[in-house]
Amino acid sequence: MRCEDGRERLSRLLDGELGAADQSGLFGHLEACGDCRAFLETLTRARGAIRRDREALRREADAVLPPWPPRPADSAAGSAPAPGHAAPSRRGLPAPALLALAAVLLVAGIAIGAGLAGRRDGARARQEAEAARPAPESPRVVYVCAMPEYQVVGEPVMDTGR
Amino acid sequence: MGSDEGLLRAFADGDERAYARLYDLHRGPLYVYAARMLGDGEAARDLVQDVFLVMLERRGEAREMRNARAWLFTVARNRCLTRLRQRRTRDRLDELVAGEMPGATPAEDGAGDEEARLVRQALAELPEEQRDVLILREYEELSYREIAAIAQTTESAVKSRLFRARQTLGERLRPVWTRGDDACGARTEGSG
Repeated sequence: MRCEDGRERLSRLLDGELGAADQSGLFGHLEACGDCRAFLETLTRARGAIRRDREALRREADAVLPPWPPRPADSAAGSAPAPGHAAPSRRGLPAPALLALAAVLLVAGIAIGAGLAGRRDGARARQEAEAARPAPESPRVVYVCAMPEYQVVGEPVMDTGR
Repeated sequence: MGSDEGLLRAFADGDERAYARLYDLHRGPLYVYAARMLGDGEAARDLVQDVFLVMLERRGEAREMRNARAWLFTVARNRCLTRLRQRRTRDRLDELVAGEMPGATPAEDGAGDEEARLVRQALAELPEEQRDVLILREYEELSYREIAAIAQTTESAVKSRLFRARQTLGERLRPVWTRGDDACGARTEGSG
């Protein structure tokens, strides 16, 4: 067996994908070839290092990734944490519940708005009625009628604030 | 573990807990894959978030997905390759080839695990298509079939890429480790 073939089989052996028939041929080659044995040792050693690296990365993942999944509204990883590993309850609300809540808020809003509008209308009506009422007689008129002999054209009119 | 079909169905039906569970199951492996593909922990973190946002956007397709892991890794792989292409255009590949791993923990970078550092460096020097399958096989322990589905290729192509990746890795590591062992007075000969 050529070393090239031997190493190709070694690769499959490491993956648990080498059949029994191919294994016996490979082991025969390994007994005779120091280079391929060294190749296997190197790969086995590399696998050990990779496993350690993987565990370190898994720990790193736990440290840097938020425990809750992202949402479109989230600013990358910067939103408020959920309690534990569960999704926040706000996110857990099903769509129908959210719709119902929105409907209730809408109805309540309309009712409050209508109430305020009614109060405003009443106040305006009172104001208009007050405006339509005949104004009380001006003190000036009373003054003029009472004392016609003193009527002077161009006399300053008293400001009553009306 | 593997298909997560029940979780996918629940997710497609709008079950938020299923989404959280899928995230909990796959975020770690996806991070490991992306960190070693990109050599950058921060980029890996962002990429994992992006992948799950894509999943959320495509909730309607979840019923047709058979294997959440394969689907998530396919999206992650495509995004990794896109990022690497973008990075190349910015001439940042040199950093990667030099073995700089901004996302590595201080413990990894220290002398505590020199072997792991050498392996990471050798891995970063592999061509993308070899690095990709080797990470999926060695770090994630996926089957040839799953890797083929993720890399959109055949199982025999996966087998062949793995062999070439290991061949390259072996050629790079063996002289370094042999020198190191000689310096320590240790020998690997005859241990098998």
